Formats: sequence, C-alpha cells, structure tokens
Amino acid sequence: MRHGTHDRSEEATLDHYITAEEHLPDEECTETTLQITDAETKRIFEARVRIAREPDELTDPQRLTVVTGPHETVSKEWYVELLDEIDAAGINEDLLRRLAREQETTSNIVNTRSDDLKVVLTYLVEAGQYESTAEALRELAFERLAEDRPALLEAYDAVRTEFEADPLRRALMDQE
Amino acid sequence: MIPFAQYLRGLDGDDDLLTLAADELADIPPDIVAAEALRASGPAIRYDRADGVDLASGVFSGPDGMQRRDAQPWSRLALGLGLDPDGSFVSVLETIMGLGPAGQTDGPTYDTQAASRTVDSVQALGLPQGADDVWPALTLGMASIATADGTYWAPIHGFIVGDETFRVRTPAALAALLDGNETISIALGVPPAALMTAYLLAVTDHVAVPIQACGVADDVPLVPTNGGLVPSATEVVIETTVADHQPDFQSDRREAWEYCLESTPLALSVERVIATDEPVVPFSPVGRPLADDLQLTGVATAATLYHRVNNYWGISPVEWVLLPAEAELGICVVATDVLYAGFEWQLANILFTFSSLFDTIIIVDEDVAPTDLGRVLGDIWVKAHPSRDWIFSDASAPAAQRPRYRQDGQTGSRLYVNAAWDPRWEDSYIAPRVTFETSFPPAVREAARTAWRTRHDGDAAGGDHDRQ
Amino acid sequence: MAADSFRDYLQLLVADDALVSFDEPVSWDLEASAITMLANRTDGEVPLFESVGATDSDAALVGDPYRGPRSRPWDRFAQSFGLSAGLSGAAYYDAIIDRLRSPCEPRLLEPERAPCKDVVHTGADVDLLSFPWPYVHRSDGGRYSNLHTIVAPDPETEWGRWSSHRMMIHDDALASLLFLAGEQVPNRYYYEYEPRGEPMPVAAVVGAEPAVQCSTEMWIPTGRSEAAFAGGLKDRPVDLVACETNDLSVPATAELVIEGHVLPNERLDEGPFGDYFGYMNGPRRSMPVFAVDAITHRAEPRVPFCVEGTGVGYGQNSSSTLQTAAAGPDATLGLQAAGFDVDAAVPWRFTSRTVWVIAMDRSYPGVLHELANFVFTTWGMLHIDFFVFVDSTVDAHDPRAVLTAIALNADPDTDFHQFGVERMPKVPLNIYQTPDEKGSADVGTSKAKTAKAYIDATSDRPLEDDAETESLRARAQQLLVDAGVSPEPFELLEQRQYGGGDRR
Repeated sequence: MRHGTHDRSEEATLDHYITAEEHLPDEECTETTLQITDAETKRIFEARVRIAREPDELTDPQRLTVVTGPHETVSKEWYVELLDEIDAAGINEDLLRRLAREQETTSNIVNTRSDDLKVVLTYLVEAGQYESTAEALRELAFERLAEDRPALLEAYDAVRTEFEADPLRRALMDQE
Repeated sequence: MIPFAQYLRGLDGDDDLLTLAADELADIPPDIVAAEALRASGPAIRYDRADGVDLASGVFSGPDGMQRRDAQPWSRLALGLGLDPDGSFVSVLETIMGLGPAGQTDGPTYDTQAASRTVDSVQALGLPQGADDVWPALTLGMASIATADGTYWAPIHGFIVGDETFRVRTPAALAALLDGNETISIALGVPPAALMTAYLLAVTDHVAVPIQACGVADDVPLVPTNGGLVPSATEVVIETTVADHQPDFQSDRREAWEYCLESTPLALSVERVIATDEPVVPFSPVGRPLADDLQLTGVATAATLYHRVNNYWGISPVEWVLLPAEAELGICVVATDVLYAGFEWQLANILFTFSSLFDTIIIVDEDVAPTDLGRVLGDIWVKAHPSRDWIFSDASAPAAQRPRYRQDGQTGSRLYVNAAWDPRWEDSYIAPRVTFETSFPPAVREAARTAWRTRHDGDAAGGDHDRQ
Repeated sequence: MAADSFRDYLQLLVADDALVSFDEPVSWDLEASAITMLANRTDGEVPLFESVGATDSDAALVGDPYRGPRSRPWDRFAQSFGLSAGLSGAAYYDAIIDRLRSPCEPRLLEPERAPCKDVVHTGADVDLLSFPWPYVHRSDGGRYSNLHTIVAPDPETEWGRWSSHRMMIHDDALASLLFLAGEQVPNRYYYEYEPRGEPMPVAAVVGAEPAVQCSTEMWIPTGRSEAAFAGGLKDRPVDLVACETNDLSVPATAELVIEGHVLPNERLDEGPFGDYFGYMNGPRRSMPVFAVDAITHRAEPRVPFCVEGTGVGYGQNSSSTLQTAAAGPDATLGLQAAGFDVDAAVPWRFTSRTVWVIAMDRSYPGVLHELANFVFTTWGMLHIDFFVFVDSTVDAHDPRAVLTAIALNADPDTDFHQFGVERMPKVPLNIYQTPDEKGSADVGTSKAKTAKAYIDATSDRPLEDDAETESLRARAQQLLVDAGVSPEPFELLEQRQYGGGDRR
C-alpha cells in the first residue's frame, strides 16, 4: 500500500539522535553546529558535532536518524559524534575557554586591514576624542558588542572569572 | 433463500428488531415512527396489530452512514440475502448482480403457496395510511405478470382507493408487456432476494427479461398465480386486473426506483386476496430520509455500476461503488486504483454514461473502506485541490434525474471531485494520515489497547468501531 | 453550576461518569496519546493519566478533555456554563449567543489568591522539561503543548489578546511557536515587534477554565478582549492575575502558566506535526522562539492535551469540539453583527476548520458571495476554505440534511462558486500542494495560491416550517424512547437534566 506508508523502521525506538537532512553539512566528518533531537527524551538542542555515513569514521559514534521529504517520512541512518553542546544563547563555552587560554600566550594585535577605518579612527584621535586608535577601536567595538551580543560578553566574563578564581585548577589543566 | 417472516425473526435474534404493540402506536402515523427510527439509526420495527396484517419498517434500510455506527446501511439487507451482515460490501453487490439476468439458470423450482388463506377484502389488510396520505398506502410491492414468454417482475406502489381499487405506479416497461392478459399479481412480504431482484431489474431497465432467465430463479422457489409466478413464501398476494391503463389521477409520491426509468400510473381492480395465517409485510416511509426504497435503489444501482465499470476495460480497477442514501442518490462515490493521470476523468465519464441518476461523483483511493463515508466527506475538502480537483464539465451534459434543479431537462454541467492522490506524485509527497495504526508503533498500540480494554471488558460503549 | 477552573470541569466529568483514571505508569511518549485516541474513537470517558513518568511537579496528563459526547458535542460546555445538558444544537447556539451579547469584564486578583501561583519558578529554576508534555504522533518533530491559550499584548484592549498556537518544546527554557502570518498575534510579532528588534512578551496558559478555552477559539472584534467574552459565557467575571515577569494578565485558576517572550530575529525548528487536517504535515519550518522566563503552576497540575488530527471524518477531539461549541455560536453572532441575516453558522462535522455550513435565506442578490468573501478576507482567511449555504429551514447541525441539500439543490452548472481560481492564500499545513507550491516561506501562507469557494445549496422553493409535522415527530420520538430506544439521537424531546450514571 503506497499511501502514507511509514518508512521509519519499527526498531527506531533505539535511535539515539534525530536531525533533518536540511541541517546536514556539505561534507562528512567536518565539525559543524547542528540542531538535533535526543530520540528518547525528545529534547532538542544545538551541538558541535561530526557526521558520517559509517560509524568507523568517528571516534564515539552514536546513531543518527536523518529525516527528509516533504513530510519527513523518509529517513536514513547516519552516525554522529557529539563534541560540545551549545547553550541556549548559542555560545560555545568550551570554545571560549580554549580561546581564552590560548590568548594568554599569543599576541593581542588585531589587524583590521582597512585603510578607511585607520583614517577615521586616526581622525577621532587627532580630534581629541581618544588617546589612541587602539583605545578608540576598543571602546567602539565593546559598545557595539554589548548592544548586539550581550550573551557572548556575559559568557566570556564568566569564563574569565573562572580563570582568575581558580589558579590551582588552571595549573592542573595546564599539566594535561 | 430466506422468507420474509423468517428474515424478521433473524433480525429479532440479532436484537435489531423492536416490536411495538397495537396500543403503543396510538394515533401516530406509522410512516412518521418509521422515519424517526431511521433518522436515529434505530432498530427495524415490527408493528403488531389487532386488525389487519402486521407491518415492518426499516427492514431494508439501516443506520445513518454519516454517524459512527455498529452496523452498515446494507447489513440488514445482507442478512436477508443470506450473507453475513458483517461481510464485505462488495459481496453484497456481487450477490445482487447474481440475482439478475444470467447466462444460464437451472430453471425455477416450485413449492406450495404459503399464503393459503383467503382474505375478504383488500381493506381488511389494514395497510398503513401515512401522515400526508388520504388513503391507505402500499409500498415495497412486487408486481408480477405473465406472458407466453415467461413471468416478469417489477416494483410497484400505490394507494387503496375505495373498497377494491388500487391506484399504482409501476415501470412503463411492465405495463407495456401486458398483452391481452390484464392480470397483475401484487406480492407483499416477498423474500428479500425477490424484492431485490425487482429493484435490480427496474434500475437496469431489464424489466423485460423474464425471471426464468434470472439468477433469482435458482434461489427462490416459486408458485403460480393468475398474474405469473411469485415466490411461494410470499406473505400476501393480491391478484388484480387492469381497470385503466391511463387513469387521470395525480400523485407526487415516487418510490426511488422511479428516478431510474419511466414509470406509469395504472388503476387496478382487486380480484382476490390471499395471505399467510399471520402475515407481516414491509413498508417504506417513502420520501423521508433513509427510506427503504431509497436504500434498495441505491444499492441496486451501485451493484450494476460496479459490475459494468469493472467489466469494461478488461481490468478491474474499481474497489467499490456507493450511492449513499444520505445524499438521496444524487452523489456517487467510487473507490479506485488511479491507473494513470487522467484515468479519473475516464472513470467519472463512464459512470455518468451508465447512470442518469446523479451528476456528481466523488473519486477516492482504493484503500478507503465503503464504510468510511465520514472520511470521504472530510477528504473532499482537504485532500482534493479546490482549484484543480473539483472538475466541472461543459454545460452541455444532460440533466440528472435525482436532483431537483433543471427538471425541465435543460443541459448543464456535471461535477466530479478527485479526492485520490495524484498518481504522478512521489510517495514522499503523500502525507500520512493520523490514525491509530499509523501514528503509533505496534508495541504502543498493544499497550494502549490493553490499558483501555481492562477498563471496558466487553462493554458495548467501549466498542471500537474503527478496528479493521 | 458553572465551572470556574479546569479542575471544576474535571469534577463535572467525574460526576457524569465521564472520566477514567489511569494510576499505573503511562508514558508521555506516544502511549498517553494512543490511549486517548482510543477513548476518542469509542466515545468513551476522558482519560486522566496520574503517573506519567518522573517529574518534579507531580503533574498529570489529561487526554482531550474537551472532546464532547458524539451526539451532542457541546453538552459538557453547556454544563460548564450552567446551562442544561441535552440541548439541541440550535438551542445551545441560541443560549451561547445570548451569553456573548453580555460580556463581563474580568477581575484582577491579588497574586497570593491565585491558584496558578501555588508554585513559582523563575530564572535558572525554569525547566520546561519537568512537565510531561506528550509526544503525540510518531514522527512529530517534538513534544507539544497544543491545548493552551497564548496571551499576548494588544495595545487596543485592557487584557491583551488570547489565541491558540501550537508550541513545540525544545529544552528547559526554549520552545518554538507556530506563528502563521495572517493571524493577529503573529502579525503583531512579525510586523511590529520583530522589525523593532523588540522581544514580544507572551504567556502560554495551560489548563485554563472552559470559558477561557472557548473564548480563545473565538474571533472577537478589535478593541474588545476575549477575557470579557469569557466572562459573558459563564455569566460572571473571569479571575485574572498579573504575570511574575511581564505586564500581561493570565487566568488565575489555570493549571500552568509559562511566561516568557518571543525573541526577535531568532528561529527554531517547528514541526512536523499531525494537525487539524487529519494528516501528518511537514516539513519542519523555522518558527519564532519562545524563551521562557518563569513557570508558575498549581499543586499537582493537570496538563490537558489534544490528539490533533483525530477531529476529521467520524472523529471528534477537543479542537473539533471547540470549533462546534465555541467558534460556531461566535461566528453566528459575528456574522449577524456584520449585518448578515444568518440563522446559524456551523462547522461541517467531518473537517476541523476548513468547511462551514451557513443556514440563511438569500435576502438580496449576491448576499452569499458577499458573506463568503467577507469571511475569506477577514477572520477566516487562513483556515476556512469553503462555505455551504443552506436554507434557514434546513438544520445546519444535521450533516445528513446538509448533504442532501448539496446533492439535490446545488447545480454544478450554477451553484458552485470560485472553484478553479488560484488567487487566494492557503495555509501551508495543507496536504494537496506540492513542496514547490508551498515554497520555503518561513511565515504565512503557501507560495502558490489556491481557491476559496462556496456552494449554494439553497433551494428555489424552500420547504416551509411545519409545526404540525414537528409535533408529530416529537411524539414519535417519545414513543420510541418509551419503547426502549436510546434517547441520545433524538433532538425534539423535551430537554432533560443528565444525572450521574444516566447512560444507556
């Protein structure tokens, strides 16, 4: 009987995760952000993942049912490796931590590569509004980020506080 | 073959017959009571009477197909035809076809006349007078005439006017067969198979086929009367002669078969009335919703259309055909395998050619059950595309017989609604229905049934009507 | 005795032997829905699931509590509003229209007195997933709340705007809402709040009292609030209470209130879901995000849900019952108020919102065209696609009478209007458009337009009302009941009170 036949296998109760084909990255095995559903709890969340058709291409593969079709009645079985979960505000805290740690040992020079921006910023300095182009850029950028991306700044602030408050933990982490 | 009285006992045994005592009816016209029972999907009714024959209503009808229900509109008829009332609709259609003109029959069998008692007059029968009637009415009658070539049956109905006169309507084709011998026997309370045959012959315009050449002759034992062979098990036989071939009385009443072929009035004189010892005859509240004559006409038409359309192209794509009495036979529903794009147009047109009753057809997929009229009446709006799947023909089609409009015969449009899936669509385009079977895997269904049943052991109110 | 809360309503069901409890564990994952579907299709008791898996809130699930009895789907609402049970459709509509003519302003309660604030969670305490939201059909996109009221701001009324939009649960403080442009609240979000980058405060009210649930389904004139009409329905004020985290007011006796805001410029997946057409419908669409700020609830909240998709064909569920019992009388009154001499506007029994039957006389040439297109361009624009017009002497509540009218009176040549055109908007939940035709529109209607049509099934010679025949019919009905036939299907008998256990 062709009409409305459900292609999803009856054993799908053992599914681990579910996502839609339209969410899949173009390439397998590359790290990507994906909205996925926990098949058992039906919780839906975003995570950093790697996807592959075969389980042996991933380190810790879980089953991933990929649904497609106008009514999502067609599905295929892929595999997913969950790297990190992204919290509600869309911030990858683990990434932030890693970057913050790396930043301790790298230069903090940011090159905008923009002649126009250099001219405008220098103008503001010459006009007495800022002490330096770096200060101008710092203030303007943070103002803007605070308006547009408060969650990111908050998350970073939390990461920083974490780092400052726990030198022992940091020391241990550095040993790894 | 099941005689009528035995059939009623069968309904009673199935708890599908309510018996009303003579005093319970009071002065309420029986056709009103019959009509209310039909509207409410109630039981068939037997009216026990002190004077005259007992009556029965609703025996050829059934529950309202637009409500959830335990039985089908054709369940009683199936029982009367010797079938399982819960059997398939198609088996009913095929059985009905088998009663009609057949390639060869084994020839009629004969038995003694059950109606052995002479009745003084036709008035003594005490036939019922309806709410809008001036005279006692005869409905669901079977007329029989004989010529040198055989016996012919057809439906007949009318009124008893005065002591011994009938004013009736019967197919013109039957009246035309009267050839010198002007005797017509009217049989009341015939076996369901025989009445079904009369309706089938009328609906297919085969009144001129002698019953000796019909499948019914293999099934129903017969007995000769002055008006031809009638079933030996008939409850009441009224032998009449034609008093006037062109009487001038007017009557608006039409039994539903009259929309299928030309009918004619006749005035008849009663010659003799014979009956069984405790006769019981059916009547139909003609003109009221779900009346028996409407159901009989609908199922006879469905049977013949189903047969014709599946023997037309060398293949049998059609699952079933239904003319719901709920739509007064003005709409035909057909379930089919849509073989290719455009097949639905062919099917609609051939059905319009085969029957002049309706000008509206609904086409549904083959997996729709004939018991699921509710689904059809939802799908025409949500599954058929309102711009593309409601197809109106040119306004040059002949007018249909059943509707009230264009009764002057002006041409107009016909409509078919394609509520089947487009065969060109990929499977994945087809939206799955929300049903118990498709929305839940087997383990969940089993757990749910168990949980529900433990709280409703065998209780009729807990009956699950949708279980396939 | 009117019901002032969902709990009162459940008590009413208990008194009528119309509620059945399941104490054993039943899973929210399809099982509760499956049992409810069986209850729905057997016209059985409403199931209450006491034990639905570990939740911190000791919540119970109630399956399709508003599904009405088959023969008179409005009966329970009638009782909820203090009317008698056993009314015919016409009598019920008359009584409700009467109530709607006298709206009653709500009362604002002090928070301490509001049962919906027995328990309050805010901030990090908020956990949507601690409630037993059902997974209703296999292959739905997620768990759903679909029998609730969305309260949203409306600058033109004192009490905001109440409407219903299904909500897919994502995570502890996130959900997505099916906001289809064309409806009032989504319009406000898409065309006012979002362009300003401003979050729109909303509250999802689950398990409100029957009067609130009914008025949520009604179309109310602009400038008026559903809250006042809810009061009219039960003939006394509805109690409201201020939200904890925004300026909205919500029904005080509700089982569960989810406060939050709809974020601008954010989207989450929503769907697929088996919706009111009776079919699974996908694919998932990107829909606005409901970020939850607070959840308040009664102790041991009873969470109602609807097995959507079962209100078509012979089926009946809460949403189809709400259409018949609430939207119908409201539409009748609304059309009359708009100047149309309508006898009754009744949803067609075999679809959930798509088709309506209007009983009226053709008082002037073109009136049917005018009425149909008036509705198609206003409150019916999204979900109503067809009208069937019948004479005022035809009982619009009797589907057989309506089908007969179509079959015998509607001439395919002249009485079927606006079929075949392709210029009207179509809700993308439909099943007869291809994916290309629906397009990838994230909001609003399908890319490809379709038809909105109407059928004139009135007669050139309408039958006259016949009091004598009706009196005979009533006597015949009584005769049959006296002889033992169930009184359920008879509509001409004298109204009687239902007692507990009075079922044949």
